[in-house]
Amino acid sequence: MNPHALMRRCLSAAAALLLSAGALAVAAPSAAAQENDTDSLLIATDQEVDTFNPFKRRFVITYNTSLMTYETLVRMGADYEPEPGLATEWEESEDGLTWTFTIREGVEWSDGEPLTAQDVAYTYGLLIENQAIRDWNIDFAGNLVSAEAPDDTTFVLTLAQPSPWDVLTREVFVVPEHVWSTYPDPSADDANQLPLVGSGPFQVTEYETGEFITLEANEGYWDGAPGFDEVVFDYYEESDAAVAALEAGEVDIVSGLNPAQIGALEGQDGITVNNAQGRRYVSLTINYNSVTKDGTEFGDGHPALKDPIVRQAMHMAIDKQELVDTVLDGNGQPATSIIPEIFEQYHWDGGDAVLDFDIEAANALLDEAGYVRGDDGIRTMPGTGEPLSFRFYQHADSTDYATIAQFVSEWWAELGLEITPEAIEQGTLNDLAYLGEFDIAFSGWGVGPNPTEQLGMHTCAVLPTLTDGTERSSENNYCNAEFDALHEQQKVESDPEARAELVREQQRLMYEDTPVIYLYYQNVLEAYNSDKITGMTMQPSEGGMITGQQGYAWAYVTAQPADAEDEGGTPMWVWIAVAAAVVVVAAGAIVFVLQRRKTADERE
Amino acid sequence: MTTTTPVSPRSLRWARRRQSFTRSWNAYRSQRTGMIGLFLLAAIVILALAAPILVDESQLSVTQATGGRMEPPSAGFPLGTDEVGRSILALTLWGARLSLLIGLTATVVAILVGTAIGVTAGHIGGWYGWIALRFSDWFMVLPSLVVAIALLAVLGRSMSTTILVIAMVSWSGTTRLVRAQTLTVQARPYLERAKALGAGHWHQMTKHILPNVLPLVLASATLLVPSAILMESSLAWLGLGDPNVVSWGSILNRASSNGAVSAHAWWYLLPPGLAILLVVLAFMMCGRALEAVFNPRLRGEQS
Repeated sequence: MNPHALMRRCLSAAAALLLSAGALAVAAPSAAAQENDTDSLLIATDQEVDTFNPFKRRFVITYNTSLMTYETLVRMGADYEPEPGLATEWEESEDGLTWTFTIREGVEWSDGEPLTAQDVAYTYGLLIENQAIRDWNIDFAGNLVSAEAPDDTTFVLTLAQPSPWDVLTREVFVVPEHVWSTYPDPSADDANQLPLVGSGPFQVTEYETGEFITLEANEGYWDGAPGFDEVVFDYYEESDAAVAALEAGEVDIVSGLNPAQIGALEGQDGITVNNAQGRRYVSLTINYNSVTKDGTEFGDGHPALKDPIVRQAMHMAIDKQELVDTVLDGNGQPATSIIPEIFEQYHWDGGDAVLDFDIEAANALLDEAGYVRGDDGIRTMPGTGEPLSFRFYQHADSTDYATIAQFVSEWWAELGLEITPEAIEQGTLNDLAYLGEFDIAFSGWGVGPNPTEQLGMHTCAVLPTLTDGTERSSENNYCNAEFDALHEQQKVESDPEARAELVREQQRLMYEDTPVIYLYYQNVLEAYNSDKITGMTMQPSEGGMITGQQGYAWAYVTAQPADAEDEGGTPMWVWIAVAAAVVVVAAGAIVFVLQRRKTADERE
Repeated sequence: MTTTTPVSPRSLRWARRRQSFTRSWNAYRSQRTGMIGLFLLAAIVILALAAPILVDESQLSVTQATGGRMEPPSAGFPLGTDEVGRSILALTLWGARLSLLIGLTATVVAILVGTAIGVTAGHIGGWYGWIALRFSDWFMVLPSLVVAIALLAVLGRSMSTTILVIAMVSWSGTTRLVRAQTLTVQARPYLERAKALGAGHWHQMTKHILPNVLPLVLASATLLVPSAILMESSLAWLGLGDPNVVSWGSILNRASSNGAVSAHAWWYLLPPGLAILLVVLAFMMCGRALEAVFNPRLRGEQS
């Protein structure tokens, strides 16, 4: 190519770029103007919607939308203390079986209809009478006898057995009777059609699969209209993409970050990183007791795992601090038990009973119990001579679990155990786990402020009756009479300190029996655009989290637009002048290029 | 004066083969890109084979890792470290073994299946040929990555399923190629002569057709390896590989899910990415050169 032709091409390219820049400059102010009309709080998410039906939803995303659309009688305070929600006060009868709530006056549904005790009675009535809804919530609904509204402001709930903590902390989202009674089947996945009618601070109005969920502010909210006009959950498949969007100002709140992303965002102007203690644990479930209620064994767990000595030795050979340091980059705490440290009242820290990381001592324990090493270094069972060879299943989509699996496998190999790690799809892994067809598997739960929910997954009462893995109430078929007795006691104990003592004792029992090894409690890593948002209430209020709040969407309701008065920095006429100048320059460039092309052609 | 040394048919055959090999080798050697590709490939294979000598396997251990979290390159770690503190250089070297192994094995399986079906379809023809061809057409029109993802989700993740899945989505092209070549060979008079002399199908296929088809198969195999390696890396990067083994794709997967992009840890992403690029390039160069050697029409255009 001769130099003139090259020159010509470069100039044409430059002209094209200039023209498109001009077009952008013209387009930009109009887009900005549109956004200024409504203050939107944009939250990045990646979880699809299971159902907007508040009785049936199981996912975190729909928990959040339910929490904003609807309300509960008693809501969870910023420090996890029960406080008045739709009910202004409540009273428990002497025998603990009858609860009387006074319903707040003057509350309206988002469609303008008044909210009365009849709506509350209708909602609790669904839990009692609608068989499908009752089944999904059986752990709570099974204890309800009747729900009545003697007048518009009084609601009376009758229980079969006293259960004060469940009544106060269980989230029953009150739905409008005048809307829900028209639904043919209130238990259907698609029962409540958008836009949702609720009494909460924001109502879901629009949802596009994989694109966004829009919630519009309830201007007539009894507790004062929220600061933002709408909350939008935007879908980002990749967390790196969400981080880039936060940096570009296209999204305001991003959660589920990893340590590297936190490191990259820290210290950036206008972005505040929140590294808060979390309420989620990661654990290893050990298949040691796959039996039904009547004692029928099922599954194919390794027989050596039935020996508590083996489980304890395995527990001792895991350096939990090392896992926190490397996998979480220090953003978490080593775990001892099922209730995370964030609920310090109920958390059992182990005290002197904690087993320290000590591979030598673990080896000695196994030597003593008669598990001798074979020629290949693998220990065998006394008697049968079966090698201690365990299958170790991890969720295939988690690289954190893959790293943990590698650490743990290497430590356990030093004990003379043969470990075969295998990555399995989440659904398949759950199926295998409930069928008892595994040796060791990853598990993890987000824990709520009421410890009964998590502890209740470890009682004899929830053991399966069938061996086909369809009953999934028991986390690991743990069954200990002493534990169960304590569980029943703590459920009805109304003195918080006495109850906490019982709960801690339950955790101590589980630590000794080691049906599950708790690895760590992971921090919530999130970041938000602090140039745009201010005034968010965290939960807990001191050093707490934004996403993953429970019992009330404190952060989203209290969030205020930071620069409400400062309308778009550059006036419109500047943009128009710039655009005009760009167009003139570009046109000039094109004329110049065409001119040159002519002369160049003539010269050749 | 003529001296006649007794020549056995076998030695005659070998002499002929040696001659044709020399001819092909000379044709190959004259192509610069082919030679560059060959040297590159040899270097990579030697590095992969020598990985256990160059880098001790203990460097892959997470409990014995000595580096910090995502450290940039330094004297101790020439290519930096990953999120657990292992050397990226060690991971990339060891990853080469698995990526090459999966790529080559999957190709061998795909080629075996493709050639068997192609030769039989071309030679036997009739309704069998029709069905075999429609069958391979069906596999050809399926979007390979989507099918591979679906199959892996169903079959579970391990090295053997990855190999199987890659072979399954890549054999059909070879079938087409081999069948076309079989039809050409079939039309030559010496096959008619063999048939007249009473040669059965098996004899015709193995002694006459296959030797004439093999060079083309070799060239297409060389071109199939890079796509198999790319497929393995894509699947592993999408998180569909076995996370408990080290391959280039799985290193990339770990890098992206641990936020190497946000942390600007280029040393975590570049080495496995460049390694994939180099291997694919080397195989491509060799494959194109081979193709030119075995396909005279292409050779004319070269030079």
